[in-house]
Amino acid sequence: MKKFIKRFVKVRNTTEHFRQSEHYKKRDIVSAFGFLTPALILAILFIVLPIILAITYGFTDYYLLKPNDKEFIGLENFKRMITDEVLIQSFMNTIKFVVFVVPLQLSMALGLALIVNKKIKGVGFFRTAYFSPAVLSLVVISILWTVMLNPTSGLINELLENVGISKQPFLSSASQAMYTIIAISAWSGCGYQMMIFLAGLKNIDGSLYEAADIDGANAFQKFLFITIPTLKPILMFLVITTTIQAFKLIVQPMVMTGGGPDNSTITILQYIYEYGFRHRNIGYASAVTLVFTIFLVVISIIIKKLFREEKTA
Amino acid sequence: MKKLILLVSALVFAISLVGCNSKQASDKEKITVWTQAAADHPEGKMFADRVKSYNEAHPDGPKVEIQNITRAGAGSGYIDKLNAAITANEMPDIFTLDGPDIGAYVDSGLLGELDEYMSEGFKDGFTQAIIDQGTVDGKFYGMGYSDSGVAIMYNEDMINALPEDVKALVPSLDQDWTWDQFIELSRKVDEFAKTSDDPAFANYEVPVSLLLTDITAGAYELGTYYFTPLLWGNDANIVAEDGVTVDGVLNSDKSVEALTKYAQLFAEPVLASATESEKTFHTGKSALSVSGFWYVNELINNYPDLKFKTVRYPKMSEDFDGLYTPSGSWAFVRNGQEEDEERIKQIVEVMEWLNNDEASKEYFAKNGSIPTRINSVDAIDTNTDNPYHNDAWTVLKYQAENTNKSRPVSPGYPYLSETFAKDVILKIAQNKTTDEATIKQYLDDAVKKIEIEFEKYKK
Repeated sequence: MKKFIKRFVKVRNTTEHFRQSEHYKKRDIVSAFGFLTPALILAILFIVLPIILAITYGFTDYYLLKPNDKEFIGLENFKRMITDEVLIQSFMNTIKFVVFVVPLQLSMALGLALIVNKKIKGVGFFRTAYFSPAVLSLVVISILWTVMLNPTSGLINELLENVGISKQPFLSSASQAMYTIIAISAWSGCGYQMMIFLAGLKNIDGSLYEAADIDGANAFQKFLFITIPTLKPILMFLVITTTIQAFKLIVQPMVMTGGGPDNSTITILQYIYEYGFRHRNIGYASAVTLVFTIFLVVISIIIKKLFREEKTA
Repeated sequence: MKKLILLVSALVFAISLVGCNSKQASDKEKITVWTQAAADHPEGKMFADRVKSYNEAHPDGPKVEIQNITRAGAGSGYIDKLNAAITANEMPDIFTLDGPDIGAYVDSGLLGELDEYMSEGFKDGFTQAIIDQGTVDGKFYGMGYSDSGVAIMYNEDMINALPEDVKALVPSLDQDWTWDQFIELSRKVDEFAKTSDDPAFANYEVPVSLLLTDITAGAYELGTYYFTPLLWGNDANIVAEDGVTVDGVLNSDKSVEALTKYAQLFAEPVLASATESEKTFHTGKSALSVSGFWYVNELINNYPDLKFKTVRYPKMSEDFDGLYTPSGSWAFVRNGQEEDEERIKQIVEVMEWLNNDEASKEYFAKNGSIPTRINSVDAIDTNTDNPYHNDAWTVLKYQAENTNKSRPVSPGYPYLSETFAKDVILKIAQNKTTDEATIKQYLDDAVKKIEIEFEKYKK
């Protein structure tokens, strides 16, 4: 343990004094241990232990009402997953959500950031207005939109009808529900990303645009050859965080559609929650969690790899 | 340093031993009760009062301690805590469960039977539906403290605006009527509403409110509770007597027939919506409503301007003479892992106190819960100064005494109920499905899903 802490202290401390020092006092080790312990306990309790438990339970028939009767059933849970139509559908729904929401949300955020970056009167109000959905609870947002999208009496359908478009079923139609959730999610999440893009835009050296003006570049060319390349690190950061966040979709479908109609909006996390807690089938839910975790790790590695290539390019 | 660690470890060990001993000692002196009602809700308060009166009447007996744990929606929160207690082997002595869930807990060996510990004749004091709800494999496990009911309510102003021949289709509160008659009335209401400018129809949206939005919101049981009776009234059911066979039962011809009649509500022009707006009936947007018993207090207290009348839940067939109205509710059960006979007797004594005739009357007075004791049904007051209250309770009282049927007992009921509500009841409404073949397909698909899940109960 002493050796481990010494190594930890050595790695973590970057000051010249510590880098040059070969010996650590007992007091330093104890205080390092003291600072490390709470985080270590939390990490073990809430990250390491659940992962180990999920791996273990995934191979059992653990039923929550019979916690003492767990039996090892080998790959049974994993075999069941292959033929589980709802699980496959929930996986495909999650992928569909990610594929659509990430580009939509990021382009909306970038568009809004470009608008509020203009030096025009009242821009502060718009910044606040566009950012406000980011501070609202997702449950509140979901309930609000459910009321507004009501097919018969909702505000959105009233507006559509006033402009001559027939009322839409939105959340009650299997073909529209997921796209509706995608649009709402993009709207509610883009405010936060707009602020990050805005910070990036503020950091772009104005002389670059001046030089481009002298060279006769138009607005689109300036956006394409100055703004986008300068924002690339921010863009990559947002792609990674938004993608990971999108895979964790659960609140909106749970509140707005319950996963329906016809399971068209059920997501992997909702499926895991329902199987684990509502149906108390911890064994099967753990197996799904395990596979999904592996999938997410692979996705993260791919994105990281792309990011690295981007950096070296 | 090593000495210090040793000293601290010894101290912690000693404290934990003392803690264990004192816990065991104190556990013997008290009986813990968990309920799913919020402490500040009338239901939570009535339990707290009942426990208080027990402690006052039995100063020498074990002290009863109650914990009212708030539940959300279908029971989460409370159920999560119960699951945690089961995993940690720290179940309370007495706790509440929704009636249809009793089978699952019995199957897992978590509940103790009550028959041999109850006072002479105590069980017979419950209504038959409540006895059936608490009985698994012939043994009684759950004392229902509250029954429930569903009836049809209509907006009096809207019905009064209809032509006389349509008005004549509305039954009186002591008359049986059929689903076909209910559909016919709904159609006439809709036809009138679309051409009339009567102020009673100013907010009109849809003729019938079904509250299917609750299924979408996760309260699956409501769909099963409201509409399984259509199958009962057609000599069908959602699961066989053994509680684990659905193939040939849920998807039987009789089930298809009953659900095809339910589907008439969604044939064009649609009479009901899977996405009706919030409080459709309460706010005068629908003329008719399939209404749970909780509507009575809600409408009287919060919607005093709404004139609502109540009639019986419709039968599928006029000739059907079996039980067919929805019933059942939460019940008290005991921890089946308690082995001390003397203590079990004390626990069951407390359960009897919480469920006797007097308690049943108290619960109706304080919370409007339909009494579960035969001798207490008379506590239902049908002679107040509010005619809407009186009508509603006359119907509900009649159904509790004559036609209420408990939901089926099955170890896999929660999954069965969710699948039936979501994959059949809601799906028909959302897809506006009206043809027999598609409904049969929904039922076959649901059966396939349930069979996979029920495999574990058949082992």
